[in-house]
Amino acid sequence: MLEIDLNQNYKISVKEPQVLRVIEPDGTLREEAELGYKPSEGELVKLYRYMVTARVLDRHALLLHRMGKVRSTYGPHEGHEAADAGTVHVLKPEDWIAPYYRMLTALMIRGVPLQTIWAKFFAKQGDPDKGRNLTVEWGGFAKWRILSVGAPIGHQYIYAAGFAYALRYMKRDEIVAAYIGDGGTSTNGFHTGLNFAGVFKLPVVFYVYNNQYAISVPVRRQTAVTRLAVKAAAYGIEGIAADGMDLLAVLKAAHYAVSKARRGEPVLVELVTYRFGPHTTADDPATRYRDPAEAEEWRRYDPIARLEAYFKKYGILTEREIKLTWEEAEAEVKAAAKEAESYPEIPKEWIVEDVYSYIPPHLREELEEL
Amino acid sequence: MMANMAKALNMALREEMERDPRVVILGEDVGKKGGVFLITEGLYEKFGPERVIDTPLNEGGIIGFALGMALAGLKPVAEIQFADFFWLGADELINHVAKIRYRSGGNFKAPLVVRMPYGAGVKSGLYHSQSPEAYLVHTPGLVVVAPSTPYNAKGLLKAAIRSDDPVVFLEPKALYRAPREEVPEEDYVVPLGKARIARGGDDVTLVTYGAMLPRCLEAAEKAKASVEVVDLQTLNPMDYETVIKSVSKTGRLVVVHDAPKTGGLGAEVAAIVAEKALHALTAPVVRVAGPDVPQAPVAHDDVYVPTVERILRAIDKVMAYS
Repeated sequence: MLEIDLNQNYKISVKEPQVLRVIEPDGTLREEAELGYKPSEGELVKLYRYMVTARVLDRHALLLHRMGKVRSTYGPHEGHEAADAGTVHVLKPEDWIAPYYRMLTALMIRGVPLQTIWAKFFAKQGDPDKGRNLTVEWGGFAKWRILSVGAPIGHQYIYAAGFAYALRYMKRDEIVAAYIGDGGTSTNGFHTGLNFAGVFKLPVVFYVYNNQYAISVPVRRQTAVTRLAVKAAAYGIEGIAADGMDLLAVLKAAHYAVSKARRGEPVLVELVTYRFGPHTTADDPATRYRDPAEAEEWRRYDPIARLEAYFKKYGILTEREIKLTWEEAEAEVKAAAKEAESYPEIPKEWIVEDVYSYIPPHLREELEEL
Repeated sequence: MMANMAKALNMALREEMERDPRVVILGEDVGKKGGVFLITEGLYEKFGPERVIDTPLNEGGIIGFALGMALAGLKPVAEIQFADFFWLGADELINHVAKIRYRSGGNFKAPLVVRMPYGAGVKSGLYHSQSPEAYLVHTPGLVVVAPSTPYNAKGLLKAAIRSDDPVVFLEPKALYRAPREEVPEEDYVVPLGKARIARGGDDVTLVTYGAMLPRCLEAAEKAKASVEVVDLQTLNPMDYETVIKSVSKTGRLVVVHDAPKTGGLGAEVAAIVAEKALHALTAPVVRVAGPDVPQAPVAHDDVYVPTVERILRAIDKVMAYS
């Protein structure tokens, strides 16, 4: 059989992007600090406080889940704080978020009160979702311009594209930031969302939180590529990658992507991070699929510890101010939980609301039987 | 004007787009081609590519994209080229469009329309003939509509576009080019959630919808008994009061659809009548449906779809009781 030598002219080649990093694990700034967007120290400190509050809230949610007060399965956030903080900070208040699950810091920055989040975790009145969803399915946070996510993952990428089309059609100067995990990159929604956004040149930024695992399955089992950002090439859009546990790197990457999206150039941004906790409270990585030493190794890159090292090294915050930040967050989170615990239960009658814009007669009859 | 159903649907789309700039159309081949059944013919030329949008070939994309548009405040009318292909967008439709009002505690809504030609009878095999209404009515949150005449096609589609709830609009493709009738050019709607008496009668109630209506009317005409034909129009939430009222008068119920029999909408109608009006029945309920095979084989399209003869036999069967 005759072999044809197909030289490079007849093959595609995709160059993997480097992963942008700005702060070294020991807090030292790299020369990349001079690239692109340069946030003020004040902005960084403000974001740091949100990140700490989110981590404290996350740890308390796990505790209260064990006590049976958090009503449904909980999916921890730890490790994703910088990715949320940087990507949400560069948005304008009128921009939209199409979320995935682990997004506590994003909620904080958008101004969702802690009591509201606790009300949702406790499935009590005050939960915008009326107690209908799992803890981390953000169903009805419209007031904070956070769109809706349900567990079957992928759809948020598609509707984000449609939403962005509508924004442009209505001549509104707003963009959408859509989020997914590394496992999500295997879904129809991921490919379709990117494809539609590429075809219609929509004002969307697509973030992938590559936290290395989809429950137990490592990212190398999701895809044969080693950098998820290269997937953008197939849709004719730009793909970039950044260290998702480095707040400065996230801010620079996100600011770049948002600026492009505002000009109708969608971007795929891979944020490399780690899920320190289990997938959910119904999961146990240490005994099943993950070497604890691996988590320890990733701990070197912890987004909050890294920021603290940087603050101390450059005299932005003192040890004492850092300690105080944690103490204040602790008190705030506990007080909010206490308040939300006293909220009333969700009445039975609410079960038939919001199926339709009205309650059809058969649903009224069915309610009487409950 | 005199119009067939295809033309009536086109009129509805055109009028709603003229009335409301939020109404947009999206789907495969809906633009310059005007759709494979020409339902969107001329709309691309009139309203432009921003409002009549040819999409990539992906039903999940079409429905999911429409969901995003609806969340932002537009009124998208998505076309799925054949109902058989809606499965590729089933996650978007059933998990997300149908549930978003509920899962958001009423903070979001997705008032969109998904139009899809459905049904056998045009010799188009397993994947251009399906009647998936039973799967769809089993999804709380969706309104499911099936027109049966040019007149109600126009009025129901206009009502669907104006609805605050997501509507799946099942168009009986076998009736697209069926004989024309008078369709008013002025604005009117046929309300959702209401059945209609297509023909009055005293002895038997024939409950049907969509593509089977003309055959039911023909059978009713030919039957010796006096047959009342109820056209459901909206399949969910269903107007069961009209069904109960008719059965209470006639005491005999025959349900006709071309979808497979098991778990079909006929079973639901029969169950509702059993629950609410069993005492009124003088005969067992009879279902006339497609057989429980994957779909109408090309060679046996005419055997698969309930015929006037089969409907007449069902009428005879219930008339044997008194």
